Amino acid sequence: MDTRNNLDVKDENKNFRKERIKFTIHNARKSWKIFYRSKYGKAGFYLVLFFVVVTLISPLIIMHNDPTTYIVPEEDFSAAGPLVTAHIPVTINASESPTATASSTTGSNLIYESTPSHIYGISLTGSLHNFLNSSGLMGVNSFTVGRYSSFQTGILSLNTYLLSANNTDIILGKVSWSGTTYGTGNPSVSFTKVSVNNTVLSPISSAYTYHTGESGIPEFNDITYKPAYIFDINGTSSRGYYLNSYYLSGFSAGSHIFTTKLPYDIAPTNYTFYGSLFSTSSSQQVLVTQGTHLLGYSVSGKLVTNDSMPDPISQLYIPSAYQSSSNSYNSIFSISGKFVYGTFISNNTNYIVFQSKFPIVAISSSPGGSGFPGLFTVVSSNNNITILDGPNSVEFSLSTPVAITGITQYSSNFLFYNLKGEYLYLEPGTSHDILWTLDLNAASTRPIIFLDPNTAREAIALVSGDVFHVYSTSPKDLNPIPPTFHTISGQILPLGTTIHGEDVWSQFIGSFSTDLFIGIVVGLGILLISLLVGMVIGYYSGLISSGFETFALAIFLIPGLPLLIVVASIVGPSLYGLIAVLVALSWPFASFTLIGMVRSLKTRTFVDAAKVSGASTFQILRKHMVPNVTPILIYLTAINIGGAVAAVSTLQILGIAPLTVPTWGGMLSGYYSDFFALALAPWWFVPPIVALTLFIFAFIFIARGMDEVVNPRLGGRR
Amino acid sequence: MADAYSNKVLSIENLTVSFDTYKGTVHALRNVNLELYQGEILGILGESGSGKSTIAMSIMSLLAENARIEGNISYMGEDYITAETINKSRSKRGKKILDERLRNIRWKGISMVFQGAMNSFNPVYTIGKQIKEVYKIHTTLSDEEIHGKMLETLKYAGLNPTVLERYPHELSGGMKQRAVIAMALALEPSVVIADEPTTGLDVITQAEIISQLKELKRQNIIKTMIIISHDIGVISQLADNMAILYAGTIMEYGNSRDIYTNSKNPYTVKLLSSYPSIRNAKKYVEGIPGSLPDPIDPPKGCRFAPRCYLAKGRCTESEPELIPLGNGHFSACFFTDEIVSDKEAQNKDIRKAEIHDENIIETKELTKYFDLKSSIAGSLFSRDTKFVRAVDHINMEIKRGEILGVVGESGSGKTTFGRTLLKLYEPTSGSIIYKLEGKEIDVAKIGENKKESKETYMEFRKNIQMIFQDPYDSLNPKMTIFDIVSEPILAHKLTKPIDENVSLMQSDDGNEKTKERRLSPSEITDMVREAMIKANIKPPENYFYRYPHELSGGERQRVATARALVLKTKFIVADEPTSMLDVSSRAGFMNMLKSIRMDDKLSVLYISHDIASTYYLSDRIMVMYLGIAVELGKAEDVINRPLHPYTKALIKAVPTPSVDWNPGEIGIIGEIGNAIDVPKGCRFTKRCPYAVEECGVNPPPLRDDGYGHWYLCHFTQDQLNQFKDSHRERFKTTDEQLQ
Repeated sequence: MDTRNNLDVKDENKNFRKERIKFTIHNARKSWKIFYRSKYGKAGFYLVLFFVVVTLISPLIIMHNDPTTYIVPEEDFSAAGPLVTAHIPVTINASESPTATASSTTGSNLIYESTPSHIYGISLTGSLHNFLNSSGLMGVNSFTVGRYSSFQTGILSLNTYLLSANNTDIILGKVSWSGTTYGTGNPSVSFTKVSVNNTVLSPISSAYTYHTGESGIPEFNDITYKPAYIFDINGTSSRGYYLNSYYLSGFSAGSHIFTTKLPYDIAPTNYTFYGSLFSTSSSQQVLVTQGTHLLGYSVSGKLVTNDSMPDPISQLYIPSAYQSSSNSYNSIFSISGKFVYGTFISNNTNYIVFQSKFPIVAISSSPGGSGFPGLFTVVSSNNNITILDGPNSVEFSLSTPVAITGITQYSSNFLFYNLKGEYLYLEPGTSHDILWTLDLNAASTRPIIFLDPNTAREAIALVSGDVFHVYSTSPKDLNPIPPTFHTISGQILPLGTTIHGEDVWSQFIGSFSTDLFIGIVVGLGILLISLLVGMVIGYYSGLISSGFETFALAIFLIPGLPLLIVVASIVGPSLYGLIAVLVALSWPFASFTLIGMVRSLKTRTFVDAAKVSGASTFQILRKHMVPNVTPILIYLTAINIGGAVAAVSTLQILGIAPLTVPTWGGMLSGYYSDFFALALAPWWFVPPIVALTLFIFAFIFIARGMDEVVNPRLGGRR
Repeated sequence: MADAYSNKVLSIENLTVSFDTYKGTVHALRNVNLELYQGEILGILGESGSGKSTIAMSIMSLLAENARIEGNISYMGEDYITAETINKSRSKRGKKILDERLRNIRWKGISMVFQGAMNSFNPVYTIGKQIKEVYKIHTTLSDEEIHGKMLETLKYAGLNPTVLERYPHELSGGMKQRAVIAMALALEPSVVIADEPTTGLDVITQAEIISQLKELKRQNIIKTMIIISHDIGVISQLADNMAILYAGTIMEYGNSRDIYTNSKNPYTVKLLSSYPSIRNAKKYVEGIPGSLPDPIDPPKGCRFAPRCYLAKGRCTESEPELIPLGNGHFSACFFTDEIVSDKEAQNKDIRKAEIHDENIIETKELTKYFDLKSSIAGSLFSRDTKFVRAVDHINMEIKRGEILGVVGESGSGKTTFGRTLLKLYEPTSGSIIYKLEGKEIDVAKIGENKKESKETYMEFRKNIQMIFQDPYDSLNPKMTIFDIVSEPILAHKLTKPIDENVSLMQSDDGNEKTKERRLSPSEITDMVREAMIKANIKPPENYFYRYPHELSGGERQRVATARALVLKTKFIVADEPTSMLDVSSRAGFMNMLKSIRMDDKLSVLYISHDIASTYYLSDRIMVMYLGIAVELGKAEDVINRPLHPYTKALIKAVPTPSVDWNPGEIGIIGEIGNAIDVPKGCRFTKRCPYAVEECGVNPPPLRDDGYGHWYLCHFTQDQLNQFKDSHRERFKTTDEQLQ
């Protein structure tokens, strides 16, 4: 019977507890309502909720988990450095490639550009010269030919020639300048026309096109010593195709050297001259491709090379060093479907240089002065660039964010392009990453690399619509990049980058958890210490209590920031060290508030009443003191959380105790070193400034909202 | 209203004042009509919250910014406050115009003694400088003229000219109040408004102030006056006409005597019967059940209807107008004819309390000195030891079931005595012996932290409880009523024996030999409920989960009482439990205490400065002066046949609503002073009109009348009476002695 009684008691206890919990919840709800009813409380709640939610989902949205060390791919922030951007009064199609050749050691003074109806010269300041009005022009080649007369007197001077054609004529132009030296005064071109029919491809010359400052003795404008030739292919598939050769000297129908019929009735697709700078003409060849066939004719018209590949040859490529000296390893490289072949000129045999799973789009290489080019570049149609250091020997490969259709090269540097205005620049000898990128967002011509007389360095010229661009080959650092969702590497940068190329978004998002963590840990730390200190010192009076109070006062009275700086620099840049320092230096304020509260509570009659009721000191502290200081504790903790974050941010901004984790303050330290960076890159600083402000305000709002709960006069009846 | 006064000085017409607050609109006054004639003293009587001060503030146009005013107030026939002027004053320009108009009325025409103004002197300026400021602001007199005026005014207020050079902290409360009155009289205003002029003063000082005001009126220095008070004694002594205010409406208006003797309003009847009086001996005082209506949502109809014993359906539907009853007597009630003075209630039989012979508590030479060097700085820098002799060698005993009243002015050590009994203060010397169920505990020797006496200490704590003065402070605002009342049960970890065969429940320390268990929640709840019902909180369940701030003062004090009773305690110290309560709930509280005492055979130490209520409640009364018990005896004896000169003065000073009360003959000098530098001999020497040289040298002997009524004096009653006859002059000239 009594057992049951005891069980009843147990049950009763349980029910009682349940009811108490219900009541507590009920009260909490009431307090919550008051809190929520106040505008401050509501704003604070939603702000804190926002920070907590972002913190919780931050691993999902951070994008880069190492935001303090992560730097966005170089291609995203390394861009071509513009030297000249000028509007020209005509619009150039992307397929109409410009050309230039250096006719003096200072470089190329004009960039030549042909449209079907005109040949223009564009000066490096962007002024346009119209050299020829014609029709059906097939594009223009430029090359440099030595002046034989000056060669004989020992001072070599050079002339620039332009070569173009339409259905009826081959047009050869000679550039001359009104000034005393080449490149000064006004340019003019005198044209010579030779009538031909059915020209298949734009004619070529054996003379060298000096894109850059390469050295070597050019061909000459005479027919005795290293004469320069002009080649032309005409014909139709039914009649057959004929290769014609002329001397440049006294170019006319009469300077015709030979005409030879090509062996196949397939339209020739490429032809190029091999050995422009050779000292003798014996090894020089003009190379023609017909479908799968590679044909080479000597300057006297004899077929000396005849090779064939499995697939039609789409591009011929001769490294520049092979043009200047005749070596046994000199090869002609050709693209045949998914293969790259090399054909030895000396013995007419071919070998596979590279095989891809995808069709090959373009090839290029370093000059190759001592054998196979050290860097052989292959672009395949799957947006892949492969760099070879020997036949079938891949040094590395990288994929490109955009499709590439061509390569321009000088020395060991490669400029990839696609006629859509997207350019990638690679220096595989120094870096395996794309050095810089350029995105004009408009169809643009093939770029040419030329020697810029203004800087005596290689520069890049291209035309995009009616805008003429000259770019430096060395990259320009774009950082800080403004917020963008389209980058070359394909990633998005919602908040751009810092001046060092770090992803602001990742740093910003990563800071949420750090700052919230610091705030809450410091807030709770101060809460615990100040509660203990406040209770004990406030409630007991005596020598030890007074001494401890004096000690707390001493800490409190030392100017906060300098002390923080000194202690933080001693403790060093560790997160937990910093938290410990903040807690150790911030508790006195909260403690004093509590000491005051407890001391005033101690004189309240209800404490006496509790003593009279027989409550022990512990019971008085727990039941009477703690509930009465709880609201102020919450208030103080809210303030402390904001304050801790503000203090950490101060240290971070000043660069004291830098952390290896992202914080808003750390993000702002860049601002401290460059005061105008805010104007330069608002996307970098505004987010942490806003976040910090909102964070601190959120907790101040919470504190204000708590005020409504705490202060019954404002809060009304509960 | 009364023809006797030809000249209307001030009239209030349909004054309605409300305050916009966060909670809602507080309706402070509704349709108040009052007229003040030349030479009249109008008393406004009401409980706290009735709107008394709002009337005064409206007249002075000093209401807070959130006030909304309707109606007119005119001074000397000129409407200076109307709804229009007040509403205009919300704009800057309108305010300027109003202020300009008021400048001539304020202080020159109407001056005011603000409530508690004696505590609002600027502590860094001398009194003279602060009085001078009044002249500087309002007049263009030269400094000499001002000085002359000031001396004159001080004389009127009964002050010595030396106070001009004093700082406020150097003056006693009474002197400061006189200075305030002097300031109010400075510009010879035609109307003086005195808002609670004696509240916060001791009874003797109060009597002096009242007689001073009477004298000023007699000399026509105060021409016309409005006196506002919650104390019927003060009002009845001063006022010619009286307005009874309840919840912002005037319930009754008329000649003071008419209202007092022939009340025609149930509220007045009830209110008047709520004041215990030393004249009415121990007649039953009833009080008014319930509390003031919520000023935000006042009841429809008569505002007093919910508490009225006459209320009928009509009362809750429409509001009664002030009905003229002739002879300038008005009452706002539908049933003025049915009102009879509620004599029946007063004649209600008071049960005779059963007082046992055994003592529950005895003090022997109980002494409590406060060391003034309690701080570290104090002990470092001060050389001589100074004590506050708060309680000095007191011997007394309380019998089981007895109520012992302790009276005295503030500073006499009453509260310290009560607290020392409870060991809230550690006694300096002497002993406090509690006799509990045959055991004798000398509380002075036990302590909470001494291990051997811990049990005894808890036993003592269980049986002695206290009710504190301030019910707003003695209840933890963060605890529910249930938690508050159940706290002693939980603090004492009350247990209950359980059956020996069952050891399912273990005590906290796991000791199975303790065949006791903690009380279950329902048992605790039962105890709480029982205590709350005893303390007249019904039904207790409605209060369990409420917080103190939801309760009125009276309810809070009942909760505090329930907490004291919950352990079925044997002895309660009640330290001025009614001083913070409204008049109408005081009587109820006292009656509750009386009935508990009878039902539970409880002993009570009732500490109060209110002699009438102490008389009403107590079986015996002890009179304290500067830490010493000067007289002790049966309540009737002490009140009706006071032996000690101090007691005599004290009882004489209690204002009663009768004409023959003459406080001018209190026969006592000055104020109580402090208990630090006490005279060697009789402590009362300095104020005693009978004092001779010997009094200041030797401590007086205890003189017993043989019936348990004793006093401390060098003289017998016969000797004192002789003195009185021969020194009659001394009693009449207290005013001059002050100077």
